Amino acid sequence: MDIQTILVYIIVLLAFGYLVLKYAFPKVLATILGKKGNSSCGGSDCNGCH
Amino acid sequence: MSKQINVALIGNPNTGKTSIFNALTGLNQRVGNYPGITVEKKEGVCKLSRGIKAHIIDLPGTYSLNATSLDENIVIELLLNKNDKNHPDVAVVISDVENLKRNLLLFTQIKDLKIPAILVINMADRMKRKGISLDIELLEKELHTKIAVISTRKNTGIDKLKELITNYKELPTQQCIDINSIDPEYFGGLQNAFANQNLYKLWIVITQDVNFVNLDRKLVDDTSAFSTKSESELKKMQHQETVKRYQFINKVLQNGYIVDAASAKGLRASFDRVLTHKVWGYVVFFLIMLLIFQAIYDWSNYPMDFIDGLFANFSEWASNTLPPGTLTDLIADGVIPGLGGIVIFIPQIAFLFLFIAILEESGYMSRVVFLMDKIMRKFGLSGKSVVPLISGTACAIPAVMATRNIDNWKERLITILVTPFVTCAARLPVYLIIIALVIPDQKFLGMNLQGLTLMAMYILGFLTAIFSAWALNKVLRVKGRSFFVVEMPNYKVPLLKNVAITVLEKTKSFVFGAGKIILAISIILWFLATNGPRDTFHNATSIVTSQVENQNLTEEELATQINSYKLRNSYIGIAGHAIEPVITPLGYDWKIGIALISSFAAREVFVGTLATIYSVGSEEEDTIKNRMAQEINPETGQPVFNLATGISLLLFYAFAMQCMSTIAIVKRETNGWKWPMYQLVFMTGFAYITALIAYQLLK
Repeated sequence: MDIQTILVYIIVLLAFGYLVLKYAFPKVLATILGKKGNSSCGGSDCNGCH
Repeated sequence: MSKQINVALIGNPNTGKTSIFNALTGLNQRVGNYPGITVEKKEGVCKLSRGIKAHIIDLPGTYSLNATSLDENIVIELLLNKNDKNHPDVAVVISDVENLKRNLLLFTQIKDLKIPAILVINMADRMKRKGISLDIELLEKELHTKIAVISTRKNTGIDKLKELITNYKELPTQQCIDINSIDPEYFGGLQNAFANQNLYKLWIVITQDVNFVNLDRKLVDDTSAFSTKSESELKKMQHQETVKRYQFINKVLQNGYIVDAASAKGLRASFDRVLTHKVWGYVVFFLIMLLIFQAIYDWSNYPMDFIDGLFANFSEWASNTLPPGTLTDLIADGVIPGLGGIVIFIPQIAFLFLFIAILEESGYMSRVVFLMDKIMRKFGLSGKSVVPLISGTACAIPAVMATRNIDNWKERLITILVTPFVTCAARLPVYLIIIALVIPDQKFLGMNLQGLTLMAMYILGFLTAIFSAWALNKVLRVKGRSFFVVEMPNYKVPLLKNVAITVLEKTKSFVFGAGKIILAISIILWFLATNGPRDTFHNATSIVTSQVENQNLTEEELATQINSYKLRNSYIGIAGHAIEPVITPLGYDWKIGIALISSFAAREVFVGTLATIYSVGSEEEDTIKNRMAQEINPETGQPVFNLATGISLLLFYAFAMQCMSTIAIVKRETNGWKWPMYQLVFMTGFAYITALIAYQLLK
């Protein structure tokens, strides 16, 4: 497996992980991204950007 | 060393607080929400002289410190709680020169909390036209404060305000009225019980339900050191306080604020007569909407085509320049087309928000709310549903959260259930691309037909919302109604800076908020479209080559056939074909089916998904619009995006509950899965049936 393919697998996993966290565990995502409070889509301090 | 101070901007609604906030902070601002509620929180930083930085917090508009809503409660909590990290070192109380008397009520209350307060008299540019003259020296003396007379329109007075904030320690902290004089016995007892506390602060705590950490209401009520009062007695005392404050204000303004009625000119009443008229009001509103939707199409065509072409070139450049391999394919065929699917809509989104910002800034939006209130009542909704429904045109999530201000539960539930029908900004990209593909770019009665169709989609969303509300009202039998009071601000020429900041903020939120989801989905879709589980996928080249052996295909044609065969046998192709029987009656092929499913995450993902799928299935880089226009149904030989499919798709997106975040927020607001599931099933079922009927009639 060449380096490009390995990178693609990592990117795809990251993208998948991002979507799972965003919709299933938004608070965990907020903590990982270092956002203050419980900022999440549809969360208490949502500003309606999606 | 730089020092940071907290500055709170406080004032009645429509006094120009946001303009002053923008003038002080420029682009150094952040918009969020207060935790747990949907009240907008704006913060920013302003650099002052002597290395001092001011952390400016723009508090929600409030008429007094006698809170009746969540917004007002926030102001009181912040002013009373010294432990709050945002507790102001200085309060800047914004007033409107035309409504100074009413605005001063709040100012005198803040002064009596002994918080250093600066009085800003805003909209000074209107003084001459309204025949107003001020004796600033006298007002400063009588109100025990410093005054900055500001016109954000003419950019005057901001430097003076900055100077006053810098020197806030020199501000007098004398109180305006002595609360003790209302009932000496009661307040004497209160002061004795809490000798170290500010008497007016104690009074506010007693009369409000506030979260004051050092001294809560229970503690005050339980104290036997002074005689407590009944609720009605406390209310009576509050009225006495208000009367006392207005007596004080009248005395101060008697000599310090002169209005020469003879030189005053006012067009407001004449404008209001037309704009809120029971017939002309709606006609004007309709014409304004018509103009907006025409402009969105006419003005944004050129930048849209430019961006579309730019992404196609960028994709081609990435494909030709980067070293060949899977990562390059991902970038050229997955990431760039996916992102192009959202960036292409920046011009239209920006234009839409530009018009909304102008309508808000000019004071017209309050008249629209007033007009809508009249319609809502006829359909069983009351005024408080207007704000959520109108804010639903931006996004259903904050709109659903805004229903918390509706006291009646059934009325609130109905508003929550119908709000997702209102056309949100996420539907706009889907509408724009489909309309551009299936509606001819022709004039109808001198107007752009595509613009008219877009407007019709907005009207359809709004009408569906109110008719659904009417039907739900019959089923749920709402009895009590909540009342809604809206202040009509003066008409103003919109301030360019405010409009620009709003457009920038909203467009940025839209692109970056949806952009991350679209990027992630595009990557996954590309992966699923370029990999497959069976031998038919892996041996696609040899299978297709042997199939077309006898045909004289060029190299390019052969490559396209191989790509198409691989796509059909990829993971996504298999999944798409599995759902095809359900969507074929609506006129959709499996690729549109995949876009429908992926756009359950967010509607605007639709275009990015199709861009990625078509990009993988094609040898050449092209614009999103061209790719969609060139897609041919292999069975009929006709374009996939024809009038019947297009109208069917428009109707499906108008009615379907395709937003996971909205489902999540409805679940939270209704405390369970029952209502969001009803909503999901009803809206999606309704969308399916209408799309089916439309396609079957038009095909």
